[in-house]
Amino acid sequence: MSELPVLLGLLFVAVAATATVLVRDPVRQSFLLSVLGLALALLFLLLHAPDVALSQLAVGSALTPLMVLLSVRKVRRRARDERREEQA
Amino acid sequence: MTRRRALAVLAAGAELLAWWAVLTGLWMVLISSVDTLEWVVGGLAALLAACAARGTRRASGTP
Amino acid sequence: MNGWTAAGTALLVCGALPAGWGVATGPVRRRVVAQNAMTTLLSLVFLLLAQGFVRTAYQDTALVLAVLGPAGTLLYVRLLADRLAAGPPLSRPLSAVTPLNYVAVAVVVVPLAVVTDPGRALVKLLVIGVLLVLGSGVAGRAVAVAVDAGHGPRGHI
Repeated sequence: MSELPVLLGLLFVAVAATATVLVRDPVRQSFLLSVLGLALALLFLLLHAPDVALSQLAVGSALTPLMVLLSVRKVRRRARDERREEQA
Repeated sequence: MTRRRALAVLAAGAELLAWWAVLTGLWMVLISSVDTLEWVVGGLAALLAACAARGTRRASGTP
Repeated sequence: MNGWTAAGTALLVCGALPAGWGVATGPVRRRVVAQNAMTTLLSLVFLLLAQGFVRTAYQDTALVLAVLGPAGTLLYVRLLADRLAAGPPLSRPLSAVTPLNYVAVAVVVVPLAVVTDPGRALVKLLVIGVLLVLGSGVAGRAVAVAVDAGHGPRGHI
């Protein structure tokens, strides 16, 4: 019974990681990545590693989605500009 | 003119002091043990953060 | 496993995991709203676990999440503004999520504050609670404004 939270955390991480790999659209993937980051932070806290959980939170909850979304925006803008140049 | 300028300086100083007091209080609440070194480090960090907070408020344009 | 750990696990299963499902599926507006709810609820789970493990230092994770969670939501609102603006206004269940966050914060923080001895630990707990409420409110309002931006003043007739 006392192992239940850790088991739940492990299950949460496994499901979130599998879903992140299976989803192909980068924008949806950024949402799943943030869920995975939060799930990992929860697992680290349950395993009594709050320092690792802190750094995982800092990276996973804001930084990873920011980088993914910024890259998506830049790639889309470049693709649109190239299409416009081809038409011109 | 000089009086208005003095008032502006006074207002800026009061705002910085208010930010500094609040942020130092926050630092003291969030650390695990209070001693002199913590007061020095926390006060300096709060001073930096107070300047940043005032700059942010002025940049955001809220009165 | 004591009562606080059990309460944290229950909040995880009944609150944070469904919110995580909401983040992983559905249209973008529901994902952003669910992301806000999930960070708030997970922060409360961290608070309950810190009390359950009798390690007050673990509260720092809840504090960091209370600051970074709304930052992440605002990030999505800023970078996905065009997707949020396209589509109908927020449905009633989605606009009820932010008040629900407030209720959850009150339900968790008040009992924790009652069992905490008066002192700096209590002030820290209350600071985390106020940050959670403020962050949830700011992020929820940002989502509402971004969604309404696509409709203009005539969209509300």
